[in-house]
This record gives sequence, C-alpha cells and structure tokens, in this order.
Amino acid sequence: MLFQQVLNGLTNGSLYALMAVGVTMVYKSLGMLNFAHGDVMMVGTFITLSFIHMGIPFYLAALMGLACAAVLGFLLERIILRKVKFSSFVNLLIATVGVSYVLRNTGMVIWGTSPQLFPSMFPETLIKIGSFTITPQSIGIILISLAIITGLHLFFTRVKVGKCMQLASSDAEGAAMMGVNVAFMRFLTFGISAGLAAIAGIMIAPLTYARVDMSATIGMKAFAAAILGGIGNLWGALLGGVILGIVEAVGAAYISTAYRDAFSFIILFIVLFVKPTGLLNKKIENKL
Amino acid sequence: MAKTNKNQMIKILLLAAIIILIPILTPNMYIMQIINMICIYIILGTGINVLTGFTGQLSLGQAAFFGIGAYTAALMNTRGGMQFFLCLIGSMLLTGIFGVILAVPALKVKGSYLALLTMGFGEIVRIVMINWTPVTNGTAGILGIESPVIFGFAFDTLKKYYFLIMVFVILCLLYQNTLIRTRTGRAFIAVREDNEAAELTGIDVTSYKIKAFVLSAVYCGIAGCLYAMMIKYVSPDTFTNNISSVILWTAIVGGFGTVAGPVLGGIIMQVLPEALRFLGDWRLVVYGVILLIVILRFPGGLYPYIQKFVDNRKAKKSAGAAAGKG
Amino acid sequence: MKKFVAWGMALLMAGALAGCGSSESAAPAAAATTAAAGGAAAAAPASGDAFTLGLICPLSGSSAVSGQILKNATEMAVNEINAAGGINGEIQIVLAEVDDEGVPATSVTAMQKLVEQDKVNAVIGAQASSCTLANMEITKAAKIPQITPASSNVAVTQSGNDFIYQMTATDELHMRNVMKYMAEEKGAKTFGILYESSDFGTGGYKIASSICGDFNLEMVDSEVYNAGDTDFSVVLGKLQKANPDFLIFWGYHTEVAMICKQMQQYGISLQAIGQGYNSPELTNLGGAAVEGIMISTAFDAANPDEKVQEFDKKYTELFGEGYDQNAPQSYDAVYVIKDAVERCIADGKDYKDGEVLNEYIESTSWNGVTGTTTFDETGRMDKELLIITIENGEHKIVKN
Repeated sequence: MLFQQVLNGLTNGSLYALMAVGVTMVYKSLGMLNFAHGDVMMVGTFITLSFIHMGIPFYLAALMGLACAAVLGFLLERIILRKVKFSSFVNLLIATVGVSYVLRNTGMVIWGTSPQLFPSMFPETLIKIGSFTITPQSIGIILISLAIITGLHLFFTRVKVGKCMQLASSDAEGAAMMGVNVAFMRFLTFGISAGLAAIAGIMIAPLTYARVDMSATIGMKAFAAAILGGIGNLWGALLGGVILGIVEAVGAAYISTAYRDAFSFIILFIVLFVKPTGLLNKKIENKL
Repeated sequence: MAKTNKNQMIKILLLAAIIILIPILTPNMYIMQIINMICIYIILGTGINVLTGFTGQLSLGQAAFFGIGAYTAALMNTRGGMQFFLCLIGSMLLTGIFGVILAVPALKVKGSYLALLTMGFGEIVRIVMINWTPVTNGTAGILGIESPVIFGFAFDTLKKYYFLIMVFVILCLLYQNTLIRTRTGRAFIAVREDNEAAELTGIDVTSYKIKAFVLSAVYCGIAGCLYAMMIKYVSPDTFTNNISSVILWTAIVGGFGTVAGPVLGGIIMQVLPEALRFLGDWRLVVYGVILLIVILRFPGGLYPYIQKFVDNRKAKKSAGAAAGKG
Repeated sequence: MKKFVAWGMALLMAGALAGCGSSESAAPAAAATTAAAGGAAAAAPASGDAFTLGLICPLSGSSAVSGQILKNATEMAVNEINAAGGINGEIQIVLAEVDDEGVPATSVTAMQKLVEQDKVNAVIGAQASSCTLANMEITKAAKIPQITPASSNVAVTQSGNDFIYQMTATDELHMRNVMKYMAEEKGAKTFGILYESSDFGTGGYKIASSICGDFNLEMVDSEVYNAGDTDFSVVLGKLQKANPDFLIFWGYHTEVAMICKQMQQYGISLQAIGQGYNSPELTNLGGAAVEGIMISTAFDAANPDEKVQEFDKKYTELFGEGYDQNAPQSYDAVYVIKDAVERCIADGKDYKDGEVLNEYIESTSWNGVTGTTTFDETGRMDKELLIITIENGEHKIVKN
C-alpha cells in the first residue's frame, strides 16, 4: 500500500512540478503569481482534445494544442498584463483573476461542463512487479516531466536565449543595459510557461478526464508546490511538486481521503509561516 | 451656515424617503431578492474594503468568513433554537476569532503570497464545511433556518427583511465613514502606503493589520448571518473561491478605499449578471470581460472617477458663476 | 461625508429601480424565450388560457447531462400534448424552464423565480435530492404541486409535505432490489460499499447498513469519496483488503466510471452493483472498464414492452443520444399532471387552484411508459425494479 501510494504521489507530483515550473518562471519575470495559469492549462488540454476529435493524430494534435496555449500565453501578456503593469500591483493580480474567470466560463460554453474522455499517450497495459501494479502512464509522466525540467535547465544555462531570459527576469535593468530585449524575453517566458501548462494538462487529463474546472484544484497545488520548493527556482519547483504529491498521497492513505485536497493548503500555510522563501532559496525573494 | 445645514437635512430626508419607497415600488419577490442580495454584498464589499482597500492586505478568501458567519447563525438557530440577536453576536464573535487566526500567518507575507494564503484559507474552510458532517451536515447543508423575530415582529417576507438588512447597511456604512476619520482609519492607510514608514512614525503595524483582518471578518460575519436567515438554507457550494472573487470585485469595481465604492460595486455586481441573462450561455463570459475592462480602464474603481467628474462639473459651475458675477 | 453616503444611496435607488425596470421588461421576455427555447408549441396560447408548467433541473454543472435528458423528455411530452390540441384539447402548456445547476442554494432561488415571476401551476423537478429537499419548501408554502421524477432520497416524501410527489423509486427500494438479487440469486454473504459523500450517497449508505440484516448480508467495509475526486486507489485498496463478495456503488457516473477504470488498473475484480450511475455517459467515459457492472433501475430500453419501445423510438429519433430512467419518468410526470387537470376540469373545479389540483394528482392512476402510476398518502410511487448489466457496451436485463 505504501509503495503504491508513493508511486501515485510521484506521478501526481511530477505534474504539479511541471505546472510549478511554469508558475515560477512567470513569478520570476513578473514578480507575481499568475492566477490564470490553471485555466491556460485547461484551455490547452481542450483545444488538443478538439483537434483529436477532428481526426488529427494524437502527437500532432498535442503539438498544435501546445502551440495554441503558447499563443494564448503571449496574448495574455501583450493585451492584459502590459497595460496593467504600470497601474498598481493589486490591479495586476486582479486582472489575472479576471482572466481566469473569463477563460473558465468560456471553456464551459465552448466545451460544456461534463467531463470528457481524453486519450492517453501511453499503452494501457499494466506492469506487475511483485504485488504492485505500475502503469506505463505513471512511469511516462515521471520521465517526461524530468526530461522537460532538465531540458529547461540546460536551456537556461547553456543556450543564449535561455540565459537572456534568466537575466531579464532577475535583473531587468542590468539586462537592458546589456542589450537584451527585456520585453521580448517576458513575452517568451509567458509563452513557454503556457506551453508547459498544456503539456501537464495533456498528461493528466487521461487520469482525471478533461474537465473545465481542472484549474481549480491543480492550479492552486501548482502554486503551493512552487512556493514550497522556493519560488523562482527551477529545481525547487520539481522538489516542491514531488514532495507535495507524495505527502498528499500518503496523507490520503493514512490520515483521511476526504481531506486530501486540504493537504496542499496546509503545507502552504506551514511554509509561508515557517520559511516563506521555500526549501531551496536562500535569500528573501519576495518582490511584491 | 444654516443654509448648508438645511441642505443636508433635505438630502437626508430625500434619501430616507427613497430607501423606504424601494420595497413599495418593487414589482415582485424575485427583484426584491436581488435588491436584498445587493445590500448583503454592500456589507461584504465594505468588509473587504477595510482589509484590502484601506489597509492594502489583498484577500481572496473572504467567502470563508461569509460562510462561517452564515453557518454559525444557521447552527445556533437550528440546533440551539436561538434568535436573531444571539445568532448575530455568535457570527460576529466566531468570524472575529477566525479573522485573528488568518491574520497571524498573514502578517508575515504580502502581495501574491498573501493572496494565495487567503485563497488557501478559503479552500480549507470550504473543505471542512463539506467533510465535517456531524456539525455542518456536509454537502447537504443546513435547512430550515428561521426568520428573525425581533420583539415579536417576524421578518418573514423579503420586503420586511429588506428593512432589517438596510438598517445594517446604513450602520456599517456610517461606521465605516467614521472609522476613516479616526486614528485607526488613518493608520490603516499609512500601513497600506508604506509599512516601514508607518513603523517609523510609531504606528504598531502588526496590531493594526490584525485589527483590519478582524474588522473585515466581522463585516462578512454580519453579512453571513443576514444571508442565512434570508435564504433559510446554507450549503458549502455557496462559499467558494468564485464568491471570494466576486466580493473582491465588488470593492474594486466600485471604488477601492472609498466608503461609497462598495455600494456602487454591490449594485453593479448583482444587477449586471441578471441584466445579461438575454445572452444565455455567454452571459458569464461577457460579465467577466466587462469586469476586466472596468479594472483595466478604471483602476481604483468607478466611484472615484464619478466623483471626479461631478467635482469637475461643480468647479466649472462655480467658476462660471464667479466669472458671471465678476 | 453625508454627501458620499447620500450619493451612494441615490445610486442604489437608481440602480435598483433601473434594475426593476429592466428586469420587469426582461421577465416576460425571459419567460417567453425560455418557453420558446423549450420548444413548447405555444408562446402565445391560442385560446387565451394556458397551463404554466415549471421545470427545474441542472442544465450546467456536473449533472448537466442528466438534467438535459430530463428536459428533453419533458419537452417531448409537452410538445406531444400541445400538438394534439393541449390539455383537454384546448389548454396549451407553457413550459417555464430554469437551471438550478444542481446546487441546492441556486435551486431555492430558481424555484422562487418559477413561483413568483413565472407563476407556475405545477412544477416538475428537481433532479438532485438535495435540491428537491431545499426547494420543495417553496412549493409547499405556495401550495403548488411538485413532482420530482429523479430525486430518490426517502426524506423527500417523509417530511410531511403534501405537495410533493416522487415518481422515481426511492433509494430504499433500489437497495432492497440490489440486496435481494445478490443474496438470493448470487448467494452472496458479505459486501463492501463505496458511496459519495453527498445526500444521495450517504442516504444509500444509511439504508444499506440498516436493512442488510434482512437479507443476511454483512457489511465488511464502507468507504466514502467526494464528488470530483479522481484518485480512488486508497479506498479501493481498503475495500479489496476486506475481501467482500461484492461491492455496492452509490454515486454518479463520472466518478463510478473512473472507479471502474482504476479497479481494472489495480486488478480488482469484484462484482459491482448499485444505483445513481445509470447514464449513457457511463460507457462513454468508462469504456471497457464498466463491462459487467450491474445497475438497479426502474426502466430500460431493453424491455420488450410496447409502450417502452415506442418511447424509446420517439426519444431516440428526436434527441439521438442515450437516456437514463429520468427520461421516461419525467415524460410520465407531464402526463400525470395533464390527466389530473383533465379530471379536475371534468368535475368542474378550478385547476389553477394549487390545493385543488393537488387533490387530483393525489388520486392519480395513470398507465404510462413506466408502468401504472399511483401515489400513496406520502406522495410516493410504487415501482417494480429491474437489474441490468452492461455487456459489450449495451444494456442487458438480468432480472425482472
């Protein structure tokens, strides 16, 4: 039972980690949490599903859905966040809450409110090891998430554009002085973050069905994971996600299944109270 | 001097007449319900205004206090058989206590983190409402709450209830108005503008922040008690994240940091979705888009813009009169 | 300072009255458009006299699919009656629909709208037991008869409400059906129950624990889940460990489909039987995983009875997709009301008087698609129940 739960926790945790990376990237760039992140994930997932229903093969549909999500991210940055940036911070946050609301309700109108079946990219056959069953789904999710995060790390530290993005996020003025197009970098940040959300959605939807209220629970857990691991920190997002996933799964097994969703919030409370900078961050990194 | 006093008197009498006339002119109970909900949201909006508008502490979890207030009144009435005033005091006490509970961790964070923290608080409260079945009856909610009976007079129709709610609306707004002019109010604003500077001028930021949380929670508690006794039924799905957002928007759209802002906000937030019903499915989407546009175009709320507009007109008029005379 | 308050109040008045004004003109327009959207033939009743039938069910939210089915069937019945000239050949039915989102608080306000603004003469609804329990207080106070074709909680008719009728088998009836079948036909001795934390699920659990002794069945484990849950590994693990002869499910199709999938995933091969998830969506969402699951139901299209087949043909022609037992039950509910009104008119009484109409509904004996409808003194309808199973994605009757 314990091993099974840890495995479940790792699977969910990898997804939280992917979402948390997206959240943390935007936070680093913009200095605040994007409350519409979960809904961008939902939109990306449903667009992919629509493409699949049109007959487009799975991987192509996924790619197209990803691209659409990225475009959505770009648009949001351009249209809404740029305008609000120079108003007060509170307005910026409220704007993302507003965007989240609009996206969710638009989703309800376009795709309906019933959960829909989402095809999995992994085979359904089970792998038995001793008395435990492992689904290819679980292994796939963990490996893919790990691969993506490692890839991003390399991107941010080795590739020029990635390095510019990092610089623009942590020190906008310095970066501008070095000739980096800060606005464009922020643009990219949003796009990539949205794309990550879409990937997470595509991987989680087969397990939970695609539903327009996906953003509610997963979105918040992404924030909790990002903060737990240390906001602005890529590996922090991974660590936070994994810890959160496992704590949730084990807690549900041994403490209470009903209060499962509350664990992430309780963890959030504890982290914010004890060490708001998160596990992997050393200095205070609370811009706003 | 006497003339302005007389003007004031006339204005107050006019206002009182309008307030009394509203239920008489209302065509049916459905509209009356909307008006009553507007009043409840005015109180909710005033509550969050204290915390976010004046003290700058962003809260996305006000629905939790609303719910705690409502459930307290519901339980005290259905299980304890207590009447209105006791339930009201119970709601205010309990929400006040939870205000402190939230304030403690909230003191340490700000900005997005604070928003997230309050959101998390809201979610935890809601999950408890759903799962603590022996007390809250879970998702089924609590039925059969009685109408308030005060000195033998039963407020059992929506029209009668309107007057009860209106009394509280007026009391809350008057209190809010006076609060701003006191030291506490000025301290709140100082905290909002700059924490460190406030500390330097000798303001105990911590204690004022806690006061703000408690006060805003108590406002929501009052609204919750009134709500429970109006609908006569409470259930967890009334107190969701969505509602917290609506409460926040009530203050923002109306006017952050103003007394009359939540009044305007309350009207807009309740009337708009009803007025948009002809749009069918797209109703809520358009609603959200309109709100976004308002927030983007009128940061700080509509009321300050309206005020400015009116002041400009008056200035022009008196300038014109002065020019005319001179 | 007073000026600000004054401005605020003046705006409140202006807004409220403007709201009154716009809603006033919007209200009859809204009622007309909902009736038109509802497909009822009469937006403007020909003879000037009309019967306003209210329909309250979830058209958004998680039970939207079930609510839509209920709406389809009700509209089908109303259109049929209107096309044939209306009730008694002369009174058109105007259908006033409102969406309660499956949320009790919303259901209360929705019912208020039906009673206050649309001035309904009778109501069909709601779907969720928690919604009906909440909104039936309003019809009771307004003395308007209400028939729920879908809420199965026993409390609906046991609350001393004279104006509510239940045209669906109660949870108790279903549970007895399930237990009798498993104990007598399958020789089972022990069971585990997995139920939703809502009114509906908890009601099922309570009944199961109180009557299992009647069938010499022992409850070895009970687990609960919340609507919207997506991970059932823990509860399934515990149920499996208790090693029951069979499992009882008492919840809705979205979660049950997922539960079946996960049972397959973890290799749990216990027989599952229960109620609440008999929806065409079950096979859509569950696929191969729901093969072999059994359901207790009052109605199934596989029934060779002539009326059933006719209904099945008509519904499928008009609406295509599958339907659940709520459809024939709502359809019959409309006809029960029509029948009551006609008998009332035949006796020369005023059918618009809620109390009078209520008496006629009480004395109903109507032979419809779901068998003969009669109500006992609490408003409950007696029904014969079936057990069906899913074989190759299709329903198959296992027990009559």
